[in-house]
Amino acid sequence: MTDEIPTILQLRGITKIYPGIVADDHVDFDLRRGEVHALLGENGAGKSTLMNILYGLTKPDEGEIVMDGKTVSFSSAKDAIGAGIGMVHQHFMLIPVMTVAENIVLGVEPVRNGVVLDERGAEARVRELSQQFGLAVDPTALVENITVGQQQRVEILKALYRGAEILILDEPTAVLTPQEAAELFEIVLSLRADGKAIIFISHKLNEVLEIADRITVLRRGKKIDTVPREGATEEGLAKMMVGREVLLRVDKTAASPGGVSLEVEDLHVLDDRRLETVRGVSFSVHAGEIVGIAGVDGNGQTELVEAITGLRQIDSGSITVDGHRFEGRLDPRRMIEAGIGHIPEDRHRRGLVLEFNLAENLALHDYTEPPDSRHGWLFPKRLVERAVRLIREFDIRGGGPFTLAKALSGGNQQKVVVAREVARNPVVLIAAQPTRGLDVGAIEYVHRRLVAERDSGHAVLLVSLELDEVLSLADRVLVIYEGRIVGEHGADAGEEEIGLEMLGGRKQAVA
Amino acid sequence: MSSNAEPTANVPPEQEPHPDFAVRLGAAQRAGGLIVPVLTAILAFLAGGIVVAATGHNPWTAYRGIWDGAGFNWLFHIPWDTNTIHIDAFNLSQTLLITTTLILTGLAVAFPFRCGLFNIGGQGQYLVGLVVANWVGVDFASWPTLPHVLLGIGAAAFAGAAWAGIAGFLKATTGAHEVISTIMLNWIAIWGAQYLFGQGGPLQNTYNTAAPESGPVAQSAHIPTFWGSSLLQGLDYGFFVAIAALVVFWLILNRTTLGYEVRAVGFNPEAAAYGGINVRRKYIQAMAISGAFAGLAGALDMLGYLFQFGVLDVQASQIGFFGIAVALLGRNTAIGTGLAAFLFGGLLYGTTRGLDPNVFDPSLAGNLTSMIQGLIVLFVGADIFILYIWNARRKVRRSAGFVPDGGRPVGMVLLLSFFTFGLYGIYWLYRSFAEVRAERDSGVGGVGGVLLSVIGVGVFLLPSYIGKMFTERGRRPPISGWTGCWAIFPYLGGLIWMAKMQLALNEYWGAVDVHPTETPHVATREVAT
Amino acid sequence: MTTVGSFQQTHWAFRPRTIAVYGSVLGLVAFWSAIPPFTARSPFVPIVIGIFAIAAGVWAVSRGARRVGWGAVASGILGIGLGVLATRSSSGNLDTVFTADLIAQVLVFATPLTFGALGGMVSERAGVVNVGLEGMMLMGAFWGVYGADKGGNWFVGILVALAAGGLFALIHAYWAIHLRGDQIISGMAINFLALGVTGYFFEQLYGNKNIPAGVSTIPNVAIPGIDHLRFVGPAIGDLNLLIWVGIIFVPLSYFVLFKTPLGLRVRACGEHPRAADTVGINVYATRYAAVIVSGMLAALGGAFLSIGFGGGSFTENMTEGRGFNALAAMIFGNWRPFGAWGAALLFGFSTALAFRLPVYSPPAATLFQALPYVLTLIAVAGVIGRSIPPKADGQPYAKQ
Repeated sequence: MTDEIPTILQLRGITKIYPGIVADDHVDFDLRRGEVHALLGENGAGKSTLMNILYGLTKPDEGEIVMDGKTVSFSSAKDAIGAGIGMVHQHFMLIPVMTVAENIVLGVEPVRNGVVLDERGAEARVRELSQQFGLAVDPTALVENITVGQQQRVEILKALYRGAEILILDEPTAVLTPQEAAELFEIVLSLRADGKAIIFISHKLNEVLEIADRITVLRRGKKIDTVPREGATEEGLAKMMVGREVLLRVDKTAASPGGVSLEVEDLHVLDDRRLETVRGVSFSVHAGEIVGIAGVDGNGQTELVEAITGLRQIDSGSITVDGHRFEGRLDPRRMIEAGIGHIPEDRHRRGLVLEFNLAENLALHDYTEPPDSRHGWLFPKRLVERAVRLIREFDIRGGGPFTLAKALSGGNQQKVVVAREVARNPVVLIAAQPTRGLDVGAIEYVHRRLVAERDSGHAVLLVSLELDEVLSLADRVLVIYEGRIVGEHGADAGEEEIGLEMLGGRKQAVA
Repeated sequence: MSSNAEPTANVPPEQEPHPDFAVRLGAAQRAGGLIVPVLTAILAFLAGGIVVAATGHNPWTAYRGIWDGAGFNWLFHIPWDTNTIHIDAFNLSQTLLITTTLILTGLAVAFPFRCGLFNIGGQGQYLVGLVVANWVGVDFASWPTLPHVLLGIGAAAFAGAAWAGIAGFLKATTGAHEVISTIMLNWIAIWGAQYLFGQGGPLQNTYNTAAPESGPVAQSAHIPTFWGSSLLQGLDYGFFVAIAALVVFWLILNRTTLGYEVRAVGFNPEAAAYGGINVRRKYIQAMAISGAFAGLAGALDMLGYLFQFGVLDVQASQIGFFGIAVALLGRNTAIGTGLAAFLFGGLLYGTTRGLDPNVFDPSLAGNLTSMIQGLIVLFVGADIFILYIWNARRKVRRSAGFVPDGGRPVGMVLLLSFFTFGLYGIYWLYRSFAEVRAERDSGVGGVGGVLLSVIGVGVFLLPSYIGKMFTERGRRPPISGWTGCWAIFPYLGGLIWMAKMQLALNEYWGAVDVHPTETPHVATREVAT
Repeated sequence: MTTVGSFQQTHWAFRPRTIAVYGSVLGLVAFWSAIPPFTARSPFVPIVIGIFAIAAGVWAVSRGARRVGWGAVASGILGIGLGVLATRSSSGNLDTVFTADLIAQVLVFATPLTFGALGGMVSERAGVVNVGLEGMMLMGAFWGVYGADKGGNWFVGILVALAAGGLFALIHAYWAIHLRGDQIISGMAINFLALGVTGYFFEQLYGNKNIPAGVSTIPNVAIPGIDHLRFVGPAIGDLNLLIWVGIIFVPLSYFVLFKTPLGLRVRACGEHPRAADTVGINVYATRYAAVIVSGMLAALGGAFLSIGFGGGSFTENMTEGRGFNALAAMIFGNWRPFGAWGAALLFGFSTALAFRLPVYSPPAATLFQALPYVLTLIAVAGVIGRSIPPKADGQPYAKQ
């Protein structure tokens, strides 16, 4: 314990359990005045949950928060704000149609003559704050007209305006360009110089090493260690983050790839905000092999998969499925008919119509054709027959053909999706995070199915945020970073090497 | 690394799953069975009765008067009384005349609802149909009867479809909210119809230019009546068209790929798009079909009994708006819409022209109808709440020993049934039906089952349901609908029947995993550091 | 999304938006020039003025003020068309249609719409869709006249109307906010319920006897010095008190919504309730208050119908769709006070014309009544600048 620098915040034994998952498992954390303390961990390691607890948005199941020697409990964000905690959410809590100043003062507005909103006063105060901490932003501009980097500054100012002494930055660089990130680091350093304490949440090693004074690593809800920056290395942190764990061994033989089933050429795709998130991706998947795409969340995987399956328009480039070349406008129906099977990353949002029963869900692609329908007439009996068959074949438990999909457990819901996609004998099966949120048994099941699919001569494209999964299943591994494929490896690739590429540690390793 | 470990702050508010009402109501479609709508209606009638009582009238006589005014008492008339122009018969025929319209305007709301769209424009679409039918009926007077009627009906349905299609098109192309555009289209139609029928309007009658009303539909376009006299506004064959529309509605939704697509879009547009469905096109199609139903309603009214329409009639018409209450109360299903239309048909006629002024003042009663209508719509809005409790209870029952461990006590059931003269058996009848419904998510439910058993249908239905449950699991069913024949034998047969039901259910549950939603799966894996 | 490169400020009077507003006014003037009291007889006058209006609109559109700019263009074209038409008809006819009290009549028809539209705006700005305006207005109309009759004073009538409208709004709020039911369904239910309740109690309390004559009504305000002036006098010299109140409420609601902390919070609840919640604003309380105020405003509009302009009368379904018309005005006015007022005036104008045009042709008069809805449909479809509601409008908010 260093005596000169006072500890202003302590989290002791914080535990939070969500149905099906332990988000935080007795996590300890402490923060000193005037330091940047990074919270490092992969997606789902429990960082955001921990901070939501600190900010009063979520209640812990166990553990206590100690501030300045006193145990406190926050039942809402208001309490946390009152205690001098400010949080910049990964997704900004800003109102686009209001000005910067209005957003900052909302809830604690300066008032003139008793009733009138003192806009000038607010703007002046915002200017003052932004000069003090070097956060250049125009208080009169509308939030919808400023850049994401500026919006983030508005969020920081919002916290400072409320007198925050502790500032939580949740993945602050995730939405920033490198230049904006560099500016953010300067701001953080100036805040630190001003005596603020900053919790910097990240999963990017390089930036943590650049900015933090101390680093706490979380892995799967558990605190691994807290280390000072001095002496920490990317390799060492990566090992702590990913851990040496028992890999899920999947029994599989060596692949015997056939001809090209899926070929993606120079694909460019825009996201919902019209930003280019897939920037010229080219690769091919052969029949009888599993190609895994490894990468940290938000590096263009979602958009890539949506483009290949026709759910998102492509900006340029082409997709060739089984010899049929697709360019320009795509639609899901054409891609389905071309032979693409798709296990989507979110089975509730896309994969299933939760209010449909299993028979109806299992027909989601095939209902247009005989035997399901003829000339527009649907034959529910055929749907049920198929469902009875697939339920037995794929060992779907907990319901029959008439059971609503929402009544099944997560694992069985995923089995329904897998059954539907696999049963169609697709030329290419695209599995996007196919084991997300599943228990061990279901994970093994899905893995076995994917390998079986490969062994029966189909091409499989596996996109996963879990490196273990990619490594244990894929015959070839592609690494995606910022919308580009930055590395390609064989089945025996080293975990750490790939991990570094995923985290941008070795930029542009492969063009 | 699964990101659903952190379900809160990581979801931006605009992408937060917002349970759209259509989706929620759709979810409710299969839950709750008959009981919720019945409760809703009872509650609304009770509240209406309280108002009646509070204002110094006897609610019992008022409702009794409305019942008689609707002609419902004719249903219980003595069979040898064959006098068909009997006043009760006439009242009932008038009720059915309104039911005809309400079925169709109800379907016009129900169909798009299943696609996740709320069509408030039934009134406008109805008027468009009315106007077009009048135009065809008046202007094509040289046509022979059958083609003339068919042309009128077809043109009106088409016009209604086009009118509603505007809202669907705007929704699909510009994202304009269908509620706002259908409200606007309503009023455009209302004023448009007043223009057309009004003084100097293109469809005004030619013989009395001072009267702002349409010309009369030619005799060749009149739909013939089958009950009552055509001179006394008898019930016309349009009634069967409406019944057929109910069947068509059911067929489209449940037996066509279009219906499958519509329901998929209604429940989850994103999953529908993923499945290869063109969501925008479904919006347009659903609205057009809805408009066709409403347009058809206008045609049947115009060619069935109105024949002529004036500006004042346009202003007073509310029938399209009643479609909202009909569809909501009927849970947007075919049978429900039919029954709700009958209820509202009786209410509308029984509180106005059918009501004996000496029993209860029709001008009060007419407004009572609006109140009940409002209350029903209001309660349907809230029974999401009722259903929430309902579903939660069902889940609890299902996971926490809905079926007692070690099977149900068949012997005890039989014994107690014997000693309570069958009363205890009725309780188990209820439970069995409820269970079957909970398992299959279709069926008549507990109360419905008991009611149907009273008229004898239920005793065949239950074994047939249970049999299907076995078949769907790929197992040989121990019982089938024929098992119901046991119940024909008095008393002892009933006990045997009951025993067979309970034993079969025991067998079923014994072989099936009864706890589908339990046991949280922890995704943490062994880590060796 | 682009970075705002320059923050240089043009004086407000020369911004494209303002120019476009000038253009819209010019379009009106083009028409106005051809009717009494000016009655230009040469088509040249409205055409020239109209061209200026169109030019202003085109300029504004090219500078990014799309919505208002297209409005100016439309206004210019309409001004030319109507103006030229007017120059061709006999000045005798014109005098019967376009008299000074046409302005008074426009204000009369616009007032319930103004109240309703402002009410709808308050509710929707807080994030609760209010299609129950019609019902709340109807409640105000009946209970207003009842209160004035039994209380013996129009002021009591207004208080009772406010209470009745507020009560129905409370039901709507409870359903929308607390039960998180569908806001459109509960709004429609409010409409049906109000129709039944007012009709029932009207029959119950007054039967066939109707509202007795001599019920205390809201007085007119004769403005000394103005009421006897030529043209201005009949136009605005002697208007009902509620008309003036309605006009005052427009800047007032603008002030509250856009210039006070309260308004900022209300709008925050309608745009991004979670953001409002995270800074400690009570979203539920704000929404409740907004919906209740909304119902009270709509009820004032209704009271104007029965004990204001209506002179102490009531008929079943008295509002006859004015609530929906107000809803349309709110949407057409893009959820803004002055926009809504402008739309209310425009819609009031079309109704007033409809009442006068039968001199020319009755069918055209009827069609004028449909104009507001056609315009709103076009606005919603986004042909001329899109009507964009508050982002969280209609979405129930669930605390975490």
